[in-house]
Amino acid sequence: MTPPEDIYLSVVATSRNDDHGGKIMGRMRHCFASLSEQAARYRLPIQLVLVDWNPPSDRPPLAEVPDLGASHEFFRFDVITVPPEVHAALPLANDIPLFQYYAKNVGIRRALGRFILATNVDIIFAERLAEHLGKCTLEPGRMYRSDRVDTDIGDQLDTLTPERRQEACIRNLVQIQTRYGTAPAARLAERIADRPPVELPDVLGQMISALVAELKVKMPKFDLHLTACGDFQLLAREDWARLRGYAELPIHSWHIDSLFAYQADAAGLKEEMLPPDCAAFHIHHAPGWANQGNMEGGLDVALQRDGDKLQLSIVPRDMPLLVTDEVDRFITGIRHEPRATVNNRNWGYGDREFQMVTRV
Amino acid sequence: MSEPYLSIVCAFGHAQRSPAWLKQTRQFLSATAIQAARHRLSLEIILVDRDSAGEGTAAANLLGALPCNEFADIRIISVPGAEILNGHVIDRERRLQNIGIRRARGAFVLATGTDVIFGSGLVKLFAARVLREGSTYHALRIDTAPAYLDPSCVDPAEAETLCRQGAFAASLPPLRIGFDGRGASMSDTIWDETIRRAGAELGMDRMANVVRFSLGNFLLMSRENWLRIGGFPEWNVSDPYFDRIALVQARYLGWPTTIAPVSCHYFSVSALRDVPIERDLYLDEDGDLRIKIELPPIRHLNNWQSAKLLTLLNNALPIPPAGPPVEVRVNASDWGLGGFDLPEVTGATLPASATDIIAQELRLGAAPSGRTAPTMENRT
Repeated sequence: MTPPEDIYLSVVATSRNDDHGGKIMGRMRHCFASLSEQAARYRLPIQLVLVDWNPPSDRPPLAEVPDLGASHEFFRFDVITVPPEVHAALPLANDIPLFQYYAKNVGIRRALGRFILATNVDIIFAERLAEHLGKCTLEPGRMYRSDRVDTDIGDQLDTLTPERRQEACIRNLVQIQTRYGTAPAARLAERIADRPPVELPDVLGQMISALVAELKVKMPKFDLHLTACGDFQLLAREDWARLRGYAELPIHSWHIDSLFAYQADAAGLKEEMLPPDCAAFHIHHAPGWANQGNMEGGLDVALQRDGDKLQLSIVPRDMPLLVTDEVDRFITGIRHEPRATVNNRNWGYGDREFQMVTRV
Repeated sequence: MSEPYLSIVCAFGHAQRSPAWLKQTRQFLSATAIQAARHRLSLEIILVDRDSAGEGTAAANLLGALPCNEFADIRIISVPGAEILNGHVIDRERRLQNIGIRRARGAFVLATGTDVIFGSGLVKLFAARVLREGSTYHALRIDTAPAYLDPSCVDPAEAETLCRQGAFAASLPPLRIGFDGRGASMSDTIWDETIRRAGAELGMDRMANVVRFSLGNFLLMSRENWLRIGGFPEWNVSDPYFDRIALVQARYLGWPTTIAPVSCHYFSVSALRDVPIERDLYLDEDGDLRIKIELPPIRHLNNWQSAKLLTLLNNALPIPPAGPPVEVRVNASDWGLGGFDLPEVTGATLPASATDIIAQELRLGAAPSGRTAPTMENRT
């Protein structure tokens, strides 16, 4: 196993054994296996930091779940367990089982790599992305981003082989999360249906490139790439420390990744897009809480017919979360004073020791 | 006064009790009353007084003598504490406006705020009595930070000049175009050209869907139409974009939205609604500079969400003329505290100096000066 001081990239994600979104174990297995294989293939020393937040008492903790993967020469797989009593001390602990960004901060603060990617357990690196990272050309002072490509391979998780994983991700693409929003990709998927596997990475890169160029003409004023940014934010370890990680707010996780992007931008970190073919595949699954309803922001809309009339009503859900108004306010504040941080020095529970198990 | 042509309905809540906003409110009342007299426009201004914090002095006491005249009446409707209202939530601006809309007497009712000053072009438009029953109206908003006059002797022309000098943006929320008010106010010609360019840059002449671009705190339609749609929504969410909902209700009833020509704009002292950023920044116990993120007490219905809501509605049923008119209801029949008899005071006195300005003009028989009121085209 790579010595801690030689680890180039730490990949931080969080989960718990609760089947969030359905088939979560299947998604995690493919995600971790892919990362492990790519680390070996490109001889890139990677640490996977999986934060098991508030593990359910009736299921095995993630450190003990079989077949989740193991460390090898270029891959160190650490599981940090944050016990239920830490979770229970936060407001709304009964409503939100996993505080995603508190959990990621726990992992980021303890990560060993020179660079740290905060991501999720259903992200698979495109081969070109792994190859690019393997060149070890990342620099401090940057916030690296990648377009997320949503792929509908949920039904194949039990049978999909490592050899066919990349091809399946491209052939089953559903939508692309670009700087300019979510772009449906059904027509793009049709265009690649008859292309041989060897051509797919190039075709994907060309398609993303063309799509982004087209959207840019329509929406020239977008600044940072915020779409699904919580799935891929890659910075040097010292930059994460300087910014003190994600905002630790005991609320639904919606928009907290955007706050971080704006904080990094205000602090002078340059957003750098990885090349278009360096995509991050996201295994499409049942949506999370915030987008289960009709609207962003936790408002349920009802349209009811009453004879020839229509009754329109809005009911706010009883769940605190940020919407763009708070983000806008934060942007103004952080640009006014870029040295400010949301968190105190104890971010990521810096004063606590958590159990860390290296899977072997 | 017989039934006025125009009712202007404004909330007077907790925010409006700040010294800066009070100063602006006095300026607004004086300028509008004098404009009404100059242009022989019969109007009433309705202030709906509700101090949500329950600690303030009544608006009537804060404002002192109300600058009414034979063309302009000012009414202050007071809303008592929530305990008297069987739990009705009435703290927010649109709720307060609903109370005034429901009790308005004018043939047309404008829901706005006291943080505005009407440009002379807009007042001429009102005075021309060209508003149509089956339409809703918007006007371009010019954001300004004006110097203030003594409210007891406001000359509306001077107030408008100060608003022009302090202007810094033309707004069609969420769109905004910045400009230099000091340079633009050098002459009427330069001002007109600056405004024309701002309107063009905002795309006002080719706007496909006016409803998506709510103009902020300015929505005008006939009283009958307000009553038919049932006021602004009384949902328990924040309300800056509720005018979109009222507009879309009107649109489904087949009423087109009309944007007044850019020369008929109004000024908004928008800084009154700003929350100081410094409030979020602080030094913690370690001496580190920190930034606070606080959630509002109620959920937002913001630009993004309201636009998405309209899309949902549009996907559910066709908009006239593609489909038949449909009544989209949002409120119960008792909207605007319709079941309550609320206390009201009206203005009776006019400061002598302001009277002098109007009396002089009336004695001289001066017709409202300047250009004729522009015509308007409907846009849906």
